Amino acid sequence: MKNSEGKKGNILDVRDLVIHYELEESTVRAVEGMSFTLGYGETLAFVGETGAGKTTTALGLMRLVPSPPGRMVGGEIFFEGRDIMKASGEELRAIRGEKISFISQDPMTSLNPVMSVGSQIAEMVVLHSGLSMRESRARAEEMLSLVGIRKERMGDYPHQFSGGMRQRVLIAIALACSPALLIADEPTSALDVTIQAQVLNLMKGLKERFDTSMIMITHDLGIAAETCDRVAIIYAGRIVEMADTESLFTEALHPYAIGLFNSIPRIDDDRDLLDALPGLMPDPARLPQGCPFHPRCAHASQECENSAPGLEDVGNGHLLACWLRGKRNSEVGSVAQ
Amino acid sequence: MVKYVLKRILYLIPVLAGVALIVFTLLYITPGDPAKMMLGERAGEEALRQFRQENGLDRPFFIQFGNFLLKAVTRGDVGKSYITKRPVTEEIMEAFPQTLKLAGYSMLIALCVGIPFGIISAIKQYSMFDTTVIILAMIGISMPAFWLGLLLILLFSVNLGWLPSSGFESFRAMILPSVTLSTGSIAMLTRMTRSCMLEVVRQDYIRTARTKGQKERVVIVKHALGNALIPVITVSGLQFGYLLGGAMLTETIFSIPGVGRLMVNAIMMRDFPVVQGGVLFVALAFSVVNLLVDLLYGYVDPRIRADYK
Repeated sequence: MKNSEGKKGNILDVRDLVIHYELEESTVRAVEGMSFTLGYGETLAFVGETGAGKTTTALGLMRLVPSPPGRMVGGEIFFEGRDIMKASGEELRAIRGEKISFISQDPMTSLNPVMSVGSQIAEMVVLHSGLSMRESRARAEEMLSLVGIRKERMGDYPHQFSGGMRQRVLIAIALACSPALLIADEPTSALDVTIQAQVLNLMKGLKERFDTSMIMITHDLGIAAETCDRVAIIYAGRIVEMADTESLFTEALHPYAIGLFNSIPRIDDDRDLLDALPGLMPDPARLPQGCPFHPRCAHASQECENSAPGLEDVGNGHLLACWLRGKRNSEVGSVAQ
Repeated sequence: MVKYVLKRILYLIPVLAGVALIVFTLLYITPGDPAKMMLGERAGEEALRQFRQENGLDRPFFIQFGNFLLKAVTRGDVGKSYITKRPVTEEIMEAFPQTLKLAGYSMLIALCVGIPFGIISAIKQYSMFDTTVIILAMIGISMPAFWLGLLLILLFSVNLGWLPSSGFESFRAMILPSVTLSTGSIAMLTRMTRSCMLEVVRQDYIRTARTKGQKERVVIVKHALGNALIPVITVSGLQFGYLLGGAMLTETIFSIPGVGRLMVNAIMMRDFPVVQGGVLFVALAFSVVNLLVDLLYGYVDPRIRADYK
């Protein structure tokens, strides 16, 4: 079954999503008005620092933000035309795993240590396919060999696998019901570099095979460039810039995005120090007034302190949230030099 | 697996020998002459000397201890009671069924109450239920058994007349002592289950189960409980071992002729062989329960099972 066959438009349409963690002493504004769309078969990267709200957004899409303290404050999420925000618990359970599935970032802790990997894959199949336990186990065996693990290891437990193998098992679980949307939350950040490439290639291959749309969360611009059609740069719970991968990599516009690119070491230059962005991401419990990036921005003006810029199209679907967009060429310069 | 069990049984030998040495030494240096205890204060010098000789009491400490161990290991003979003149093992075996019954009921109550309360408390953290359970558990742990036992007798036997205050044959008679004895264990298990559950439900694999679209009830019972119960099993085993040996107060209050009361009486009468045998028996029971718990542990946790091979 092809997920996107004959389907046009967007599988996912998120508008003004706001998610807060309401703690006793403060409110953490993890996601502040996130809007984006995802086309059928498309891969979108969420790039940003730790704590920018990437994972919270992803969990929000499945309505799995831990609550309390998490609360979905507002916004709309349309998945295949259905409003996820208004779905009942039962509808959500039917969507999770079958329609939208999730690969989390730490393979070492994401598998149940007292269940065999075979049962953990089969559990997913039983839940959504209506197959018997025996048929589900057969399907689980199939998935296991698809991710490159011998089916004889069905009965083995997570502690008998390496990190890379466990991530493969998690991928097998996530894809067992051929979901329409796969959310991968830094699927390779806990793995060795050599294993990273293997896992990424595996995911790319399987994504094409199952014709799945994908959101790839990462803080690694390299991974985004390699695997994704479009990239969204996320800062303090907002998308500050979003464009197709090529135009973002050739012409980043937001000062934060430019800073990210400048902080990547290059083999062909002889700088002693990398151009690190000054300062830290603001505490999401105490976001600054106006544009959340202005305290770290070299080009901040009074306008940036007063109000936050919205995400607007600056041409060819390149979206940018920055007051400097009009004056960019003269003042900020471009990253592609 | 068989090799592991054999190894563990072999480990019991040094443990029990150590316990035997400590108990034997303590009783050896305790003031009071066993010969006089047996024959009475007015016994003649000659009779006393003869008794000491017959029982090896005039031999050096290590020879006495060696003889004791040798007889204990080869014949299961840990001496005769000074008072009743019957073999200690016989006395203990007569008392043990009552203790086992009491400890068994108490453990059953503790498991049936403690674990569910702990689970609900953890799922509804900071709720009214949770707060109440935490306070009750605190009281349960702090309340001494003799005090609680007396209060229960006062209420249910003396004032209301619902339940008998002593005896051990009928099920009704076992209710008050079992409840008394189980209170501490209930509290321990509740707190343990609660904290383990709280830790487990925050784990990534619980989130994984939810992202699969699994029902919340199944997530809790199958994924969370399966992991949270592993440390709870250890504590349950320790508690059961403790119940088997530590029911002295409860058995005394409710006049249950178990091992605990046997030992209390023996201590008061300076019946050294019975005390010795009793302590050894408690140590043995504790070790065996622990061994069983460790085997059970391997059954529920595949990571530990791997170490058994």
